[in-house]
Amino acid sequence: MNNHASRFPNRHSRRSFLGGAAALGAGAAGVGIQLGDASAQDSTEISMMGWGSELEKQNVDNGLAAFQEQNPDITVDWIHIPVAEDQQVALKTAIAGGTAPDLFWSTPFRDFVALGAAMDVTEYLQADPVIGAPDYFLQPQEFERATVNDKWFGIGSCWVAPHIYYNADLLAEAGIDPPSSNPAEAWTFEEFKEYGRQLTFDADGRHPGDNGFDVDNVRQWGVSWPTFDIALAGAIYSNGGYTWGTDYTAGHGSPESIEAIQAIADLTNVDQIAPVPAVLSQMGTDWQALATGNVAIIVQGSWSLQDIAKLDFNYGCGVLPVFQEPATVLLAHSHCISSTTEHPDEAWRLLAYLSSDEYQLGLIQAGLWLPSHTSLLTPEGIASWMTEGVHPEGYDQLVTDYVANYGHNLFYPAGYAEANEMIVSALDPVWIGAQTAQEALVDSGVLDELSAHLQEQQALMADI
Amino acid sequence: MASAEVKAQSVVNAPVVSAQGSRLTLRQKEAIAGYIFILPAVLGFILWTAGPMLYSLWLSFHSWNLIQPPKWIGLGNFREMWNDRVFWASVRATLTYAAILVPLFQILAFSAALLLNTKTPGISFFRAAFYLPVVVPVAAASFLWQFIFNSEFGLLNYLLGKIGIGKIFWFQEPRFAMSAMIVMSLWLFGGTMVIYLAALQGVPEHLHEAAALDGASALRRLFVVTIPMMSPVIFFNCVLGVIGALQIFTQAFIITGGGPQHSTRFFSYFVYIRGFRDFKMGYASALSWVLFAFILLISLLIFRTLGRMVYYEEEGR
Repeated sequence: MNNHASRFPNRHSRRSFLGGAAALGAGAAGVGIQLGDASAQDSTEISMMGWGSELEKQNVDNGLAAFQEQNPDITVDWIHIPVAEDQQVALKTAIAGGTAPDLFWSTPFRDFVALGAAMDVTEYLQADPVIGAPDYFLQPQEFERATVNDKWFGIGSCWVAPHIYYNADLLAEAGIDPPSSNPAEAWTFEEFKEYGRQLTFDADGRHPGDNGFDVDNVRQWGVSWPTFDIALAGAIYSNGGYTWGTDYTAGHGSPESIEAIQAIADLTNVDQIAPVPAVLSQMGTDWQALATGNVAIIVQGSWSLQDIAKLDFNYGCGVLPVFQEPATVLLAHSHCISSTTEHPDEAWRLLAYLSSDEYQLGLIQAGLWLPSHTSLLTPEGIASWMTEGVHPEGYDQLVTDYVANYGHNLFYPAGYAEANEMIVSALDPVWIGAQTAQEALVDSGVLDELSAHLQEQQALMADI
Repeated sequence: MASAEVKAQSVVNAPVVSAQGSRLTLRQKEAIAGYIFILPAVLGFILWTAGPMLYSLWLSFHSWNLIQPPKWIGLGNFREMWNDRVFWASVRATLTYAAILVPLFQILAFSAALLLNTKTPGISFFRAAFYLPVVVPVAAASFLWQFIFNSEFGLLNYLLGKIGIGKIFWFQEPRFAMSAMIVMSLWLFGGTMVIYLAALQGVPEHLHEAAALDGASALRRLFVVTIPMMSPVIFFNCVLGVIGALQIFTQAFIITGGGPQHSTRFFSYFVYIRGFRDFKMGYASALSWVLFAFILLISLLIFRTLGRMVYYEEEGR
C-alpha cells in the first residue's frame, strides 16, 4: 500500500477528487455569475431566431456586430438554424416551452399572429422618424405583406421575385435576341414558346414539331418553368389571376389561373420545350443546368443570382413573359417581435436596424435580395448596390420598374403550409399530363376542401 | 448439503447492523443496490418515453397548437382522421410499402446470406460490400438515389434507355415513386443479411451431413434443415422488418415530400407534418396512437401466426 502510494505521490482519494471537482465547479460558477453580472449591468440581452445559408449568416453576423457597436447597451443572442422549415419548428417549440426569442423571422408569419405570439408594432413604427415615414417602403406591397387588420405585426426583410435567367451564349448561337429587363418590351408568352422551340433540340438536331423529334433524347431544352408556388404565381398573376387572396380565398380555380397553370404544364406535355418541372429541381438546382447548357432559359427566383454569379458562364436576366400584362410576385420573410418579450424597446431597436438600408445592402449586393426601401431605388441608391460580376446589364430597371410597378405581394394566409400542400398535391398529375388543370383543381373538389380550411384560418384572425 | 443451504440462507437473511444502527439483511442491501443500478434506465424510460407517451395519449383527445392551452375535444381527432383524405392516403401508402418491401427484403437478405456463407475466395470483400450501404447515412444515400432516379439526367433511365426502355418519371408518377422507394429500401438489406449469416453459421453441420447421407439434395436440406433451424431468426427479422417498414420516414421527407399525389405520404411523415408543420399536436398525437395500436396488433398477429411455425431447438418445439 505504501509502495503504491509512493509510486503515485499525487494520487487523490475519491473523496478528495470529488471535493476538488465540486470546489472547482463552484468556483467556475462563481466566475460565471460575476461575469454575467458585470455584463448584465451594461447591456440587455435579446435573442433573435432566424435561418440562412453561410452567406446570409455572415451578413447577419456583420449586421449584428454593427448594431451592437451602435447600441452598446444591447447584446444580441443570434440563434441561427440553417433551414427555414426547421427554424419554424424550433421557433414554435420555443414559444410552447416559454422560451420564445425576442425577435424571430417568418415568411408565413400570420400563423404566429393567429396564435398571439407576434407583437403589434404599429405604434413603434409610427413613432420611428426613419422607417415610419410613409414613403420609406415600397408601397402598397409592404403594407399588404406586413399588416393584419391594418396593424403591423412585422416588417419585411427585403423582396425577392421570380424572373428569367438565360444562357447568353446559347441564345446568341441560336440567333435569338435576349429577353429584356424592361417590362414594356417583355416577350409575349407565344414568343417565349417559339424561342423555346428554337432552343430545344434532340440528339439529331431536330426541334419540337419537326418530323422525328425524339423527346426522350433531348440534348438541350429551351426553357424551364418550375412549378413551386412562387414561380407558378408569376404566370397566374400575369394572366389576370391570383393565388391567395387577402380575403382568405384561393384564386387557383379562376379561368385565368387555370389557363396559366395549363400553359405551364403544356410547355412540357404539349410544346415539348421544357423538361418535367420537378426533374431539374431534383438535381439540386436548375441554374446548374443553365450553366452547363442543358437548358437555355429558366424562370427562377431572384435569390438564385448570388449562386449563378459564382458560375463561370455568360448569363443575363429578363422579365417574365407576358400572358395578359407584365407581372411578377414579391415575397420574403418578415422580422417579428415576440408578444412575450420582456424587452420590447430593445427588440424594436433591433427590428428597426434590420429594416435599415445599411443592413439590407450587403445581401442585395451579393444578389440574394432585392431592395424593399424606396431609397435604394433612386440613382444613388442603385449605385450603392449594383455590383459588377453579379448584377447583369439592365438589372436596375428590372428592380426599379418591374418589381416596383408590376410586382404583386404574394399573400401568405395563416395556415398557408397546409393550404399549399392541397394545391401541390392536386397539381401533381397535371405536370405529367395525366390530368388537366381544370380536372385537377376544379372537378376534383379540392378547392372546396381548401376553402373550408382557409375560412377556418380566417376566423382565427377576426379578433386580431 | 441441506444444512449448508440453510446456513447460507441464514447468512443472506442475517440482519447487518450498520454504523447508523439500521438493520438490513444482505439480500435487502443487494436489492437496494440493484434498484440503484437500474434507476438511471428506469428514470430515463419514465421521463423520456413512458411520460411523453402518456401525455400524448392525453393530448390525443385535445386540440393543441403548442401555444394556447390544450382544449378537450373528446374523439374529435379520431373523427377528423376518418374524414381526412390524406390520412387514408398515408395508410394506403404505408401498407402498400410494407406489404411489398418486407417479403422482398427478407428473401433478398436471406439469399445473399446463403451465397456469402460459402467458402469462396474474396468472400470477405463481398460481405463488406453488401453491408456497406447500412453505414451510409440515409440522408446522404437519399441524395444519391435522387440522382440515380432522375428521369432526365439519371443513371437508371440512361441504362434503361440503352435497352430501349423509354423515359420513366420515377418521382413524378405515383406507381413509380412507390417502386423507387422500395428499391431504395432494399438496398439496405446488408444489416439483416449479417444476422442471417451469423444464424446460418450456427446451423449444426451434423444435421446437414445426416440429411445428405439420407440422400437429401441441397435444396431439400435448405427447406428441412436450414430454414427450420433458422426460424427463430427469420421470425425476429420479419417482426422487426414489419415494424421498421411501418415507420419509414427519411426518404420521403428528403426526396418526394410525400408526393406525387400523396403516394409516398407515409404515416410517420404524415404525423410529423401535422404535428410540426401544421402544429396540430393533438391530431398528431392521435395519429401516433393509431400507428402504435396498429403496429401492436400486427405484431400480435404475427406472433399468433408465424410465431407458431418457429422451431426452438432448446425447447424441442
